Amino acid sequence: MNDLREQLKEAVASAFSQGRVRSFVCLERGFYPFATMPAILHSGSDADRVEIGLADAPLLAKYLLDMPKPAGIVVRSCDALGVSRLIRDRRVKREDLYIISISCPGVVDTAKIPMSMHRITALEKAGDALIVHTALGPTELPWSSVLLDRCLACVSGAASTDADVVLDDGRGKPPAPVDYSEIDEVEHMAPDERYAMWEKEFAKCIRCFACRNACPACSCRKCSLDLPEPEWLSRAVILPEQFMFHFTRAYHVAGRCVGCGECERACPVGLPLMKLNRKFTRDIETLFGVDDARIPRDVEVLGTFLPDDPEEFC
Amino acid sequence: MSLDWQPKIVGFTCNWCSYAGADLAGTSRMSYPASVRIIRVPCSGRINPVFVIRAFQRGADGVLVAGCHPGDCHYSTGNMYARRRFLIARRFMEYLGMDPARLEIHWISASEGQKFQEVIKNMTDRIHAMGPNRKMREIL
Ligand code: SF4
Ligand code: SF4
Ligand code: SF4
Repeated sequence: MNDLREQLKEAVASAFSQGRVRSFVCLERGFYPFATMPAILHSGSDADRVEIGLADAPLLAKYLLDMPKPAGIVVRSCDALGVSRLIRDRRVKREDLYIISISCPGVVDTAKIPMSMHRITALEKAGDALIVHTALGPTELPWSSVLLDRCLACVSGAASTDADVVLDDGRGKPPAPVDYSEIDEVEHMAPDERYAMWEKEFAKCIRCFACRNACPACSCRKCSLDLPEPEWLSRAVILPEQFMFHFTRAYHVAGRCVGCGECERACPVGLPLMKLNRKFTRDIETLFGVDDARIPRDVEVLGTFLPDDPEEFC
Repeated sequence: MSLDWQPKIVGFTCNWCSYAGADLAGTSRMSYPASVRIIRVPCSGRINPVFVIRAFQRGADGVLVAGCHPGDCHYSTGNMYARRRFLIARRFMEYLGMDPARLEIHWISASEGQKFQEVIKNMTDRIHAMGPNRKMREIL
């Protein structure tokens, strides 16, 4: 792990020294010593700050939009999907990017560690376990029990190959098996029960749009939600409008969602947004024979059709 | 619910086939329930699924989406995109708890006045039996 960090620091420093980048987005140490937060570097001398991100690592793709180009980014494979999304949506150009991809064993979700953040002094990955250090001594937790939800559906922890520098230490998380059981659960509920569940969830939404802001598939510069007099969605935070908002958000990323889960992580009130996104992803896969709809393609699923698409209308 | 409650159905029909089909039903003096309010759109490909949600919000008890038969689109492929779109959007509305029977999608050609009549009749009967829609509605 540390080797990878050393290699990464060197790669970032040399990207600056070779004049390949004007800015670089990566992770650095966060408020808690064991967590990380995004950092935008402007010179190679900052490369020492670069961290791999063992816990709570946010994804970085979206930052590319506003960075001076050419811009560098360090990506794990889930983040690489977001970058690829932005490129295909013509928000950034591949030639303006300098991508360093790293392999990734998974990222710890500190909310899944059953103790207060303040008691944790350090986190350490040891084989298949996470060692949580506290003043009272270490505790061991199974690695898979503390990972972020996105890692439980990981496309592959191996470093993505569409990169200028590939740093793979061979310890990437193997691809996760496809599991749509949480979608099945909702589908098996009675319609009224389902409606009541969503009503309860949507009632919590404060319409802060953090889910949109965090999303690499939601990158319009001018969003209809921001208009002073929005036509589609009034400012009123009332239930019918919540349905409208959540339908719109999920439908806008249908077929383009990369499944990174940043929307759900950004949500301050904990809405299960992935349950919405993944419903579309699953239906697209089964109806249109798409193999893993999270992977950006040159032709959008909803921007095309096949003459023999399922016909259930008459 | 009063005894004479009649459902409100919003019908999005494409200009070239389904609207003409509805027109034919009218000019042929075929009678169908007055429950449907038709909104003419250029093509079924123009019908954003969000229109459907909006209709339910503003008091529709049922929504009809109608376009040319696949292969007959005036713009050649608009209805093919619409088909893909509504395959997933309809499932999603159901997933949010809407009753799928409240949203019907049909291919109705300009010569199918009778089909239009039947679709509206059947839909009205079904929704009449289901009662008013209260889900996603702004004013109850
Ligand atoms: S989803 Fe995969 S690549 Fe992304 S952080 Fe988790 S394990 Fe790493
Ligand atoms: S909708 Fe959520 S999971 Fe999908 S790409 Fe956007 S942030 Fe990621
Ligand atoms: S982040 Fe959460 S609370 Fe904010 S708009 Fe999105 S769903 Fe609503």
